[in-house]
Amino acid sequence: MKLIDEYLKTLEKELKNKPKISTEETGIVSQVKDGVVILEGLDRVAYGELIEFKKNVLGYVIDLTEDEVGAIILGDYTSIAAGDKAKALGYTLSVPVSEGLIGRVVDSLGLPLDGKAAIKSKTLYPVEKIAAGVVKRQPVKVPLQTGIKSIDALIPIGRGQRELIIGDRGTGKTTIAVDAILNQKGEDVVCIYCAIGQKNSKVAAIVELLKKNGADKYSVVVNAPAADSVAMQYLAPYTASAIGEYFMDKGQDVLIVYDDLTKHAWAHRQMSLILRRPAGREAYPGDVFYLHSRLLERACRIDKKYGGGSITALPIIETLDGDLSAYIPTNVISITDGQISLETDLFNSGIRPAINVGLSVSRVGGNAQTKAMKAVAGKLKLDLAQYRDLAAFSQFESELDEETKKFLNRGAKVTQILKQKKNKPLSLAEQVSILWAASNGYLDKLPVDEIEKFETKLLETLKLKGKKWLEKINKNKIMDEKDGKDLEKMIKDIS
Amino acid sequence: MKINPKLKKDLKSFLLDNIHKEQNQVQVFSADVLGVDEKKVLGKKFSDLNWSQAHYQIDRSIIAGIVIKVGSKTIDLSLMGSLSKLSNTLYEID
Repeated sequence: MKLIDEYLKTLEKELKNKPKISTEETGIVSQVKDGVVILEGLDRVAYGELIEFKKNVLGYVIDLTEDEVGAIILGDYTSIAAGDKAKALGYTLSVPVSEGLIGRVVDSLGLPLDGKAAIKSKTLYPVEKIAAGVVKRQPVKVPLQTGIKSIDALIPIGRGQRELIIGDRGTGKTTIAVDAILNQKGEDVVCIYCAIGQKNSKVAAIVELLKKNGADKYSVVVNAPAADSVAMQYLAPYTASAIGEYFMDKGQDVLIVYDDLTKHAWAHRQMSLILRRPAGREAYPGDVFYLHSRLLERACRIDKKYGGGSITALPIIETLDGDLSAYIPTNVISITDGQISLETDLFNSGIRPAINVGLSVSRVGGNAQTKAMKAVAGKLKLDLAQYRDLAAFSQFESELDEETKKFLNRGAKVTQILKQKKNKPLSLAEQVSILWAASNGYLDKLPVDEIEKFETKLLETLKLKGKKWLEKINKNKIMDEKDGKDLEKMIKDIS
Repeated sequence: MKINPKLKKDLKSFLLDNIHKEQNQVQVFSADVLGVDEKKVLGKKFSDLNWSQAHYQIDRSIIAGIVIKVGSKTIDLSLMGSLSKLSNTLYEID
């Protein structure tokens, strides 16, 4: 009965209000296409404004021509018929944001997809927003540890950086991104995994994996699966960005994974072709560059004066046959601050993560690398570069001089040590200890197939005897001479 | 078929003119025929609209009250409009 009383009270209040005279912008649906409707009227509607159809279905204006308005439908577009009335709402698309999002799976409109309670929120963040300007930014200096040896040592990523993960299908792109999320445990980084046009089964597996590793306590999943309309797939990364901005504005560091932007470009292409926008190369519209640049530009590191906080973006691009010079890959490569290039051949020959070190770069992350890692990584890079130069000669091993043989041996061992099992991120100190052993020649005499065993042994010993050492390196992020000597002792104990 | 560009241009401007005229025309939908007094009250209340060319129509579906349309602008003062607003409010309370 209480509920009914409340209902009646609200009704009474509603009815007591004298009819307010307010003008509305209205229009009529003239065409309904796949996920896109064309409307007549709505003379004073703005780009990006929301329009309401009957049954509370919303639309989002993305096309304004001389006498027509094009809008994408957020939700079920089959209920809309030609001749239906539409009303402009006078505000742009925003998503509800709050702390309650953490641990949840939401769609492109911020509505829960995981069957749990509605997300309570008082704040709305606009889905499309101009990125922070030059004044508010700060250079990238703080590292974002991915927990993957080859990335943290050779292609370091900093907080606020945009690092592209690029490769063919099945080369472990998502695995790298998810490992990076798993490694943020206890790092005070909010992680957002944005799935665009993925299979629902794959997303479910990732959600399960995050939960199993306790990563759901600091992560949000935004899902626009392949079954969703292209409009929802188009909006998903911007929604993820808006959610990220909410946490960034509170001074927190955020990591967003866009998986993947190839499918996002496809969704945008489909919409643009239906709207009859002129098609360019590969039938993408002219603004396909701006599509991704305005999204990735929203990744930034805000100056402390303006509240601090950062958004690190890990966009993923899928290539065909390793072709990095296709249209969308080159675009996104030029937008981002570096790329991690994955290759099928390396993957099949057992080098996992299958990172092609030669093609991968990090343009700003070097400044963000910790001193401890810098100390070991410098030598490692040199070893690998020399190995790559000489690798072609490795078949004629008997005819080579001692010096060359040494380089080849070291290179093979370093390549071996950079392999890592999936979903097993390592802490900074663990990484440093293994890489230190490799670059100081403690692996040179071991056969290649025993290196993995050595690694597990070393990590076990460190966990048993070197707990203090690990804690010290993880805390200070510096490795001095004494630390080196301590580590040397432990390594000698094993071998 | 080739069309003389000048003809095309003239036709376009003629049509645009027509559309413009139509757009500024006031259309009034009411549930029943409006009396002279009621029209006077309307003219006073919305004095910024051009009432000389006003077009009156009857639309039973709005139940009661009036709806005024000028171009794509709509002023909804009908019972049907308030009822649908109410149903929206109820939907949101739930």
